[in-house]
Amino acid sequence: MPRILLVAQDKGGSGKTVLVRALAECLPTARLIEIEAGRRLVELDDRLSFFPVRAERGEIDRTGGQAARAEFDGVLNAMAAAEGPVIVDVGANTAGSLLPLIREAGGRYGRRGITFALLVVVTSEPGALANAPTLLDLAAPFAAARFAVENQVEGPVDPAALKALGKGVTLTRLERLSLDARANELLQKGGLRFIGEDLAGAEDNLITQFGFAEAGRIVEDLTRFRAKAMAATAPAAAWLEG
Amino acid sequence: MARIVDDRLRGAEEAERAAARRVGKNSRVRLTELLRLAPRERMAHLEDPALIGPDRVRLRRSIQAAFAKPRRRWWPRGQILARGRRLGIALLRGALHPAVLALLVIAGGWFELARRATPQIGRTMSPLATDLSEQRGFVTTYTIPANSWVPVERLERDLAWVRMWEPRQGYLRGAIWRAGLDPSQPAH
Repeated sequence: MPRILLVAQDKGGSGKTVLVRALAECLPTARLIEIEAGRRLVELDDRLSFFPVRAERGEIDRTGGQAARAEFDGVLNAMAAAEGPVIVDVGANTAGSLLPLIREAGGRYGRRGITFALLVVVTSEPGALANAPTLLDLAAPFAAARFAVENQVEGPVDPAALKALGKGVTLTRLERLSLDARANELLQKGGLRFIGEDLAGAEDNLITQFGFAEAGRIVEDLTRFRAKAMAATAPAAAWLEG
Repeated sequence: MARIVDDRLRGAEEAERAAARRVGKNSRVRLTELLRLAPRERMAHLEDPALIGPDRVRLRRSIQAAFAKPRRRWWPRGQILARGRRLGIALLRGALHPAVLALLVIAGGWFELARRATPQIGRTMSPLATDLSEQRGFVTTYTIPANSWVPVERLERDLAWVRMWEPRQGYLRGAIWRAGLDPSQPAH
């Protein structure tokens, strides 16, 4: 039975794409759907279907009605065609429009044996904090499981706000890690897949470029970051694997 | 049971630990090299990128230890102060002991008695004639030479009562003119 995990947060800069990459690392058999204004998961190209959407919420609202719904036709079709586990990276300002459409089509997806879950990213940024319970409520009628990851990138989230996410939500945490500046640059360029598959082989190049000591630190920072991000998404990945 | 996810997660954590071990090992090797340098040369490597946090602290401490001035003392001051303090406390405890206090009272009484029995000494400035009486009533006239030290038992207006020791007769007492005594030796 195909399982689809939606990863959502309407506020940009919450670390959603990092968590999608971590999920892809946890479960290499999963395919990915990226719904974004621009392509970001380039290193996962062989497993990815990309669907561009309008970036600005205002623009989406102005187009309204059928135009907005039609924009997601390709995404809904791709999900209906799922045969195995699928991770959906729902871009910023998109989840609020997409989730009601999936809810409406929930019965039809169910008849095809497709099950949904939602993973919401929560940060201490007020917009992201306010959006998380809204998305979890929207998904409650059709999601078989709901997950939330507290991303401490902007500091720890108020425990009361996390508690308010409600029962039935599996909560994990991604602590804030300080990365070497060059390690961060490599992370942005290569993503977590590069760390898992190519970093060991690239260490010699790093040593030539940055010296033995710094190369070691870069490798340590990146592998640590990958492991922590994967640990934060592991419960959702485990659900996805079934 | 999510076998793939579990395996992948374990692999990632093992890779993390292995990378940390490598960095730690490199750092220790570098620290050993740096500790062989002279302290002044070590200072240039305080921010060495090869060192992890704890090894940087070790390097800094090694420099601090090398530049710390030794505190030389001719005697162990702290030990002497402590010994003095202990001795003071012991003395205070001993002084307040009832037996010591009783002895002090007795000694004080004896001291006062001796003080009262001891006459003041005066020096004659010129020869002074006096009638010396012994206890049985015999009277002898005697002239005390100038510059003699005489014990003065008491003063009465212009007279000074003196006493003199006679081996066979004991103390002989008599009065002399007070004006004949040296004023720098004031009587009672």
